[in-house]
Amino acid sequence: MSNQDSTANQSVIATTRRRYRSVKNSRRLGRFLSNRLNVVGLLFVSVVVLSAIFAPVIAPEGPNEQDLFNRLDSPSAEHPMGTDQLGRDVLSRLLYGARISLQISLAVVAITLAIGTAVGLIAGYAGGWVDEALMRFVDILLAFPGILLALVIAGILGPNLTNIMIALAVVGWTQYARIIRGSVLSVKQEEFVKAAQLMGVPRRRIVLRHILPNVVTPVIVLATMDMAYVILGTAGLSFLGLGAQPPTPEWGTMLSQGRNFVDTAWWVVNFPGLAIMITVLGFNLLGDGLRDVLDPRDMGDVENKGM
Amino acid sequence: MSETLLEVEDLHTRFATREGTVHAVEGVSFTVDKGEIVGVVGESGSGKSVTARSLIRLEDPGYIERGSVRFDDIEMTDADDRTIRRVRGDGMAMVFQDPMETLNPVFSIGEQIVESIKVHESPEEQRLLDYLNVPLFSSRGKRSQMRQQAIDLMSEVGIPHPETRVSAYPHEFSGGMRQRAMLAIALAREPDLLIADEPTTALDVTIQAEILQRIRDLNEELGMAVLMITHDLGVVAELCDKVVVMYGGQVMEEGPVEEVLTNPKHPYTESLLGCMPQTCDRGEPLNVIEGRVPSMVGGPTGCPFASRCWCSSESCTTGDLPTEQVGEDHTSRCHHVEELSEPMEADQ
Amino acid sequence: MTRPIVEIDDVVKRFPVDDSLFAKLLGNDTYVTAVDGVSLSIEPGETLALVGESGSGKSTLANLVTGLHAPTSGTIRFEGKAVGEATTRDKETLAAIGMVFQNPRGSLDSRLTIEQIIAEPLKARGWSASEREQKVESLIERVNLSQAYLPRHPHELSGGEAQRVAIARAIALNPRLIVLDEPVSALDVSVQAKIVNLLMELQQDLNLTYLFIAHDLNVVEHIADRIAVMYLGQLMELAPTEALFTQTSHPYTETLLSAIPSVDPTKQKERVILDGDIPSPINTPNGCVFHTRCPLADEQCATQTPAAEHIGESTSWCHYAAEFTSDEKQITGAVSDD
Repeated sequence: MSNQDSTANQSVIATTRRRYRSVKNSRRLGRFLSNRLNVVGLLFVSVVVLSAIFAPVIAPEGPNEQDLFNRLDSPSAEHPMGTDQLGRDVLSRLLYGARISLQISLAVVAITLAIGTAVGLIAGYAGGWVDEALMRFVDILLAFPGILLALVIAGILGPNLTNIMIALAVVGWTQYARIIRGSVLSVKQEEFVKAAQLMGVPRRRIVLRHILPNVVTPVIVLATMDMAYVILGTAGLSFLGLGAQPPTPEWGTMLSQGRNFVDTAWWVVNFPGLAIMITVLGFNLLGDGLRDVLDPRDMGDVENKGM
Repeated sequence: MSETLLEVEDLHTRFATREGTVHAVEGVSFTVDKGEIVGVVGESGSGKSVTARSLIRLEDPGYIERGSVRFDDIEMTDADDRTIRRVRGDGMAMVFQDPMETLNPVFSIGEQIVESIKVHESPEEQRLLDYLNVPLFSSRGKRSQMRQQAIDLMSEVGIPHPETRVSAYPHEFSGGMRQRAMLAIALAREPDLLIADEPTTALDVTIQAEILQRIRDLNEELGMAVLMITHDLGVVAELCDKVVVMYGGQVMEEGPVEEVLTNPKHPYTESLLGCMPQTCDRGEPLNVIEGRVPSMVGGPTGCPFASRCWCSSESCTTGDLPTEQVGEDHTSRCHHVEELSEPMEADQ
Repeated sequence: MTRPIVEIDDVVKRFPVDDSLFAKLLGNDTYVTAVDGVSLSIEPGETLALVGESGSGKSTLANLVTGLHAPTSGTIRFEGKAVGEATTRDKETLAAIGMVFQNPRGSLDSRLTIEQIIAEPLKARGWSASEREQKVESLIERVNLSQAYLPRHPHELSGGEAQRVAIARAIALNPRLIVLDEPVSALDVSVQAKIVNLLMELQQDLNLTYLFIAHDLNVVEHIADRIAVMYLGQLMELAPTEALFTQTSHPYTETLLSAIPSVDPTKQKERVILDGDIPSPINTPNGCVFHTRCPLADEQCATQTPAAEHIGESTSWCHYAAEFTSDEKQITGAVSDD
């Protein structure tokens, strides 16, 4: 038994080492880094992620710490991004806001990814009536304008962050289901899947071990870009008053609150706006970069160039 | 001696990859005379396709390191884009292995042939208006005349009912018909040299026989030279006058087809012929070549076949290969030509 | 006499052209007939080759035997037992039939290691990890590869090596029949020779029966005991290899044979070039399916489907099989242009 374990361990170690080496030497990494925009995207996203993680450490003040004597102070050494109408430090609120935005988008993307992938896999692999039923349901959902549907759901369930997440998740999973189903239909025709079927490999293993890893790539790209979409959606709904409620330091809420002072204190609106822009741009650029790198069609590279 | 149409000398084509420089073509030299059919034969990785592409300057993403390609007194390796376009317009035409990838799916076959005719007539001037068929600006008479030319070309390459199929789209054609359409597009340019890169590999034998027949007819009727890139020694035997055997980016043997295939003077050619199922009795194990094709990364040292060759010696692993004259127009690049002089034994 | 290992009895396979829900609701049923009433049997230990052009239905017939498709009508018996689609077969039957595909890399999941790939059928049958490991090691050596290949991924292998791995996987569960779908068509000549040798060696050692699909008649001539020639989903001729190559009894076989290029430039033969293309399998011709391209065809061929005719050891589905075999009717002189 222990002997078996140790050989298993060895093979795990060997595989890990191979993986590491292949990442280190891969042309994929090289290709990703060769496009400057990809690096910019990665940089933006890293900045946002790091500020979210270390917000309590780096923020000069608490997000809801009021200082009514210093309301609407312009940016200074003490308050690099100024203060808002209640004297709260804008920079601190932005840093904490990054936490909220990322948490929500991660949760929403994870939920949509899980539902969409499951539905897509089932529809694609089962085919027939199951496929028809699931896909027509997806069609119906897609027929509603997404953000409007989210508005309605948020309106019915009441304005808070949890409901925003539900609203965005309900709208979001359909495109994953479609993409996954399409890829499954083509991978299902591949010979290695047929070979597995003929060897009596159980259906669940075929789907999870052979099909899923081969269809997940486009979805990873989409998920990255979806992070941006969800952040934008959360901010938008919060701006309309359907999401986070004051005093939550959410970027959309901050924008909404600050818009009354845009004439006198530009920093109250512009910095949250900039934060949203940088994050959205960052995720989009990163997604584009991942698409270039993960595109399985270029796997063969030079070998297939007629040599 | 007939006139030389294409002269390739010491051609080197390389690819820069992350693993290192791939020496795909390493000092290839051969000539094609006017009206001659030359076969370039080799296995995958032998550099035959890259050679073909380099001739017509489609080597990208590779690059020609050095060497010369002279076509009709034009040096192709340092020609400017304009000259290259002109040569492609009426000098050399190329037919690829997969016609589905080379035909544009959104234009009808007829339109694609007509475009080729236009390119041939005025390789320099391509006006957008010519393609838009705007009334008043483009003459109706000219259009129908070109259409007729396209129909004639289609019947020439053996597409049945060309009048109706001229407006069909590539997906409505079968594989063999598509390859014929590619041939018509190439012929529209009235090339002096047709480069055919594995044109029949994806086709059934019966269709292959027919396409080869067409190519032979065109060669005889139009005096068009053909450079046939293939892995199939049978196709070479069938069609070609002369054959160039390639391995590892280098020429191994070159000579008249009959001589090379019946009396090979290079161990690689000999082994390759030995692998063909026809050369063995039924049910007996086939002859094989041990080992695998060497990596092309980094420069070669010595003969690329040395590691798999049954008669290799120390001299084979270093230095350049000698070019031994073993018959009239028949050369072998091997250090051990003398030892091979006896006719081929069945059981080497 | 021993019982055939596979009996194919009047099997038909049709695929709907449009498989969507709407097409079904509207009753829009145009079909492609891929296999049209084929009957043949495979004897234990032999190599039966199925040859034909693309669209002849040879691969579909192979898939019916392995169970990737279920027949529209007719039955397929494996060792006397009627078998349906793979999903309905018991594990024993699945294990008894192995399959090797044309594209060696495509049939191996690029995300698994070679070890995992070969172990997959063993795992499906519930072998323990240590049993699997041992078996995989012996299998990889059986196909003449070293154990160093086990931790690699398919893209690190050459085409020939990948095909060896596919063969190792196919023989993992000691099958009695292996269906080989163009196993050497994608390979270079020198590699092809090695794979052919390996296949012949395994057949001897493991007492295997092969159903060998190919379009390359040179390889078929070398490896097959009997050859079945298919055209548009139907059998044209079924004959022992030697008989087929020395005296064909069907004009279609003759055209196929004449189309093979010979490597010997001094022995170039007369060629029969067929007109046009293989007809659409949606509207197959009446009578003999080959009559639209056959140089011998007359009215009878256009209206009556030929019955099987036995000539010597061969079986031919041609109205003029006897005349054709005895050279009373010839096709070469008639159409050849040189």
